[in-house]
Amino acid sequence: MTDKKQIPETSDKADTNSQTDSEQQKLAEREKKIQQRLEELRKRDPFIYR
Amino acid sequence: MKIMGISMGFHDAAVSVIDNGEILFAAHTERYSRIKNDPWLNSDIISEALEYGKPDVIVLHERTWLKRLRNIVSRDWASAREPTPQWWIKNFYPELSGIPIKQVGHHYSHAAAGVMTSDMPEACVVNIDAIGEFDSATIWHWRAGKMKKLHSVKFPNSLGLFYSAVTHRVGLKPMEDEYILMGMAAYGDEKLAKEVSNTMSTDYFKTKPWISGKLALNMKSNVQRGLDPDSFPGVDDMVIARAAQMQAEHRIFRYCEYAKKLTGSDNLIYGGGVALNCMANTRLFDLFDDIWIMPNPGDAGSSLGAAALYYYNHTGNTLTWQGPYTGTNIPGKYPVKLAMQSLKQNKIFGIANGRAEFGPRALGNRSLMADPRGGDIKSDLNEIKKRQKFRPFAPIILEEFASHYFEMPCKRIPYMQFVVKCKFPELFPAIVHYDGTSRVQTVNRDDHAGLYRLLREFYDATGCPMLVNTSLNIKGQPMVNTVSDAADFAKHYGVEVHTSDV
Repeated sequence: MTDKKQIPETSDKADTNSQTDSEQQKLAEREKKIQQRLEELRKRDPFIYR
Repeated sequence: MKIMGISMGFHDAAVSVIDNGEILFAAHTERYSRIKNDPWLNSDIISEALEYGKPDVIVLHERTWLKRLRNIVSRDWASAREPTPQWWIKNFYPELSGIPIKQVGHHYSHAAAGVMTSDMPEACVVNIDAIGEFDSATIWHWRAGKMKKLHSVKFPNSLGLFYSAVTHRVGLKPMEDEYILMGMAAYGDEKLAKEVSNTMSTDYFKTKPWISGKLALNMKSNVQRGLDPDSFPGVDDMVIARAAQMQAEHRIFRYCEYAKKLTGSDNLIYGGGVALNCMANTRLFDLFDDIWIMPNPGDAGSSLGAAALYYYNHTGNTLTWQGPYTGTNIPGKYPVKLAMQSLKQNKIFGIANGRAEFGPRALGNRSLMADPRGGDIKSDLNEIKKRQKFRPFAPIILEEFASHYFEMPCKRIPYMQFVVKCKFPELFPAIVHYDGTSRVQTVNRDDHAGLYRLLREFYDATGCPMLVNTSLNIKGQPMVNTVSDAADFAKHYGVEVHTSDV
């Protein structure tokens, strides 16, 4: 019984982990995109210091 | 109390973590993103910082909305629209959610970074930079456990901004290449530079520096968009660099003289990005007996200043300063044996070991090193680093021999904050600049036991107590941070990088 219970628990945890990983990856990708966009905007900006 | 200090959104973001006065972690985001002077945070540095535990509070190094107001006042709409640190943290780091975010003033963070890392019980505190929120230079008095602000210079008056504008004028990258402009200054003809310097004084500043220390940094116009590209037509860039350096040195000296008059102190704690101008710094020993410049006096160092200030305001205690080695760790014994083998074969070699330096300078843990004797080392190193030939390399020397080889204004210079005259320039051409000076790093056993041992062994074998030291980085990239970066460097340049002795 205990073993049987443990299997779905572990599987749930693995699912949650992979979900978290993919969410973090999405966030990191979005962060990078925004950084690149900001960098482009800064290059066009006539101000040499902010 | 665990406190995370964050400085970001300008040119060189950083994260620091302190716990009950101990610095657990302090590093630049560029070392993780591999983008030089990266202004933004990234998940890698946040993850590494969180390995030291979840903070109770996050402290930002400047007041976001006050800075936005300055952006609006100067009609810098692009900067005003950039995301705030609060927005960044909320949107990208769910692991930091729920942690209160506090803010402290930009120059208050600078002052705290200096004061909280120094051991001076009383000092005059001067910060000079390009722009904070509105302040561009401030004078404080640190006495009886209190920091009192005595004077400030407000934007658009700004010596740092002027220096960046000249950096831009000679074709270098402002907010990044100011140190190259400083290196160029030695090559400018003195007579011509004096004439250009006089013109700069008249055109850009309100008063001559010798008329008023208080007004020495006040300007006629806002140079935030750079100098007129047609300014100084036909004048050599080296002469322009020397003229700008002359202006910087005179004006910093006069402003600090005024600060000394206000506080009556013989000790100086100096910070802000302008405190990285090590040529100007040396002159300040004519005013003060003792000077403390923390190894990261610019805005990146303010991540530590902000955290330290919050800690101080809540406990009354300063930080326990144990040196600038607070970043990513490469474990293992400091590679003295491997380094000595390379030196015996007269090879240039890298060292990537221990915790990375917090600050712009390689101080032995992410360094490219060589024997300083002989004429070829400078060109060999320049060949590897692919950088301008006029730029010198710095020496690291056993503290006990420093005054034998250099005209030292003080006993120790552990973080390369000052330039000094070399007494034997012909013997060590690689570490002496065109003007006969060197940016020395002295080492004693407490500063860095491994590096001290390496220098001792080299001295015992050769009679020479110093090595050439320059930062371990591929051209255009930040300094090596991890073992993998070290391997990339070795592969790219064909230079051995020692990570540890067996």
